[in-house]
Amino acid sequence: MVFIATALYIEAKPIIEYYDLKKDVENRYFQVFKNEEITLIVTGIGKINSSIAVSHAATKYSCDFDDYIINIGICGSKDSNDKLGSIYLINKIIDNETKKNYIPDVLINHFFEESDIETFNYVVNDATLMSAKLCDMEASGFYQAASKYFETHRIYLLKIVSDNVSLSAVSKETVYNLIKNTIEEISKFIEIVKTSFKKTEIFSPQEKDIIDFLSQTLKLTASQRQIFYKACLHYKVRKGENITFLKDFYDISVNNKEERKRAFAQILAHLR
Amino acid sequence: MRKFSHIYVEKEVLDSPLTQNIIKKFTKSKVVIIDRYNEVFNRPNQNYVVQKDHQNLIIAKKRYDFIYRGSKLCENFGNINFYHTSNILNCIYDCDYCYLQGMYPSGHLVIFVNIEDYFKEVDKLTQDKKVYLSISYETDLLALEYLTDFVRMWVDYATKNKNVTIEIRTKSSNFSAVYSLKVLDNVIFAWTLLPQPVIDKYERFTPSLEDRIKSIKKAISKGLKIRISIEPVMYIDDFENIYKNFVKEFFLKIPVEGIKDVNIGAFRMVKEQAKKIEKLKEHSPIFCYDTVLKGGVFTYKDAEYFERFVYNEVIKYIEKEKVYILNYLPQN
Ligand code: SF4
Repeated sequence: MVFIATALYIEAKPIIEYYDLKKDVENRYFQVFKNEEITLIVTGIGKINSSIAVSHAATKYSCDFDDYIINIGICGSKDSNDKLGSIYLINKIIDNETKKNYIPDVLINHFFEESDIETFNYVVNDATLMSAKLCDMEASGFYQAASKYFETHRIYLLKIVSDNVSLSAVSKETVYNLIKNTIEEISKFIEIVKTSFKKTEIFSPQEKDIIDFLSQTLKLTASQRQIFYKACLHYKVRKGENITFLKDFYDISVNNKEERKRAFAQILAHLR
Repeated sequence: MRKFSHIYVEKEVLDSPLTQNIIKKFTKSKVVIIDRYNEVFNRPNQNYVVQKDHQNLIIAKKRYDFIYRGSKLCENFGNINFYHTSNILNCIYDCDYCYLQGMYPSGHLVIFVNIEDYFKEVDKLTQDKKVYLSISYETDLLALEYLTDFVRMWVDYATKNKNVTIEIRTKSSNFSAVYSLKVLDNVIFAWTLLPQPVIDKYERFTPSLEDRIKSIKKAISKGLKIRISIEPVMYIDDFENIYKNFVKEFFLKIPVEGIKDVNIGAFRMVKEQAKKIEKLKEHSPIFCYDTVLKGGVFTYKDAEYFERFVYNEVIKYIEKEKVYILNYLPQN
């Protein structure tokens, strides 16, 4: 699952349209839009809103160990040469209020320019106040909350320049178009993220079936299942051979605890 | 050497010549200025294994805790004042048995560039006593010599401080990087060696046994007496034959006169670290053989046998007096 957080509905709209996300009508607290692969939450403006919404999304939609979260939104730039619509992957966040730095773990090969960003509690109209190149109102809150639930390399921030500093001057239509114009790139980026850290599975699907089947047939307890799984794993790593020979035990039947114990010991002996 | 896609540099050391030298070598890396290295290194929720696969570099200043007392799990070669220190945290190699995986929150490499501050601390520590100082426990310093020059600086320092004996432990094949250095009594180069099949199974990115041996030969040809570290002795199928051939081959290639001593120690690790590593790397072969917990230490059930076996092979070629063994105390 990829979680996406945007501050405004108008930032989310092009993403909702592109991925054909459906509104979760049961959510009373936030606007959430989903399909099977993406959960998008509209957080509201500001770092506190962003962190509350990220926590809500991560817990309510049960984020998993291998999920990702991306903050997508507009930002200001103090670089007057920066073109509107330039898109950046953030590699450092400065919280203007606390002066703390937050450093996302950028471990993927990607095609975006990178930049730092400073999160303010207010709309910045004066570029001299900024110590980073970009400014926004959510990044530090987003990152702090996200890093409670997601590993550092599973958190990303993509920021699109909407103005040379003053955010307030941007119309809704401009914001919509800025995101819409970059949506192809964003979706390519999401694909990279999704495929970058794929874990190699040690067991084939067939082997997994065997472990499940035998655990059920033998009515193994939770801790016995754990022992069985480890024994299979160790066998495979040690010998470099698969465990399909365990199919020979498929017709084993156990009627009581004693029989189960014996059968289990017999199987384990083959894995030693 | 894999390149670092990102180099995080503490503002305070950005202008240090060493920092600039390192940055110059990685023109394609993104440089990110930070305040303190722990903003990167100690972040919550990092994944050591993924970071090790995509390792980045942090350049920082060490501010406190420069020198540590040696751990009970390390061989102290009869030295009472046994200490270790690290200019670098983490390593460019990736051994399955490496205890750093269970110790550090991050897999990224940290280089502390303020080496002079380390020297000042060693000055203080050695004012009134002799100290044995291992400088390459938490990394492989020699492997990174082309980047940092730290080994050369430490050896230069040792010429001026006779109260310190420095041990530089390595798996690298990079001795030529320091070939021109002076031979000193108080600097010991120690190579960690294991049989090639064990290297293949348990170590990633380290040089082959053959390349390490070439490096050792070079060191000996310069007049150095080197230490051989056969540890951690790792289990492998056909253990006896593999280790027997390894010891034999090694002594065929390396003149005994060039060897100062040999130390042997079976795989062992503090319980908590082992637990953490098993969680990170459940597929790691180290957990797939018979292991036990002995007094808070995670080791092989047959650790003493493994050590003794290797010991008995080694003493076929070199005097007993030169062989240190961790668990098993040889009786005369
Ligand atoms: S060489 Fe030493 S420090 Fe480096 S990974 Fe291997 S065991 Fe760890």
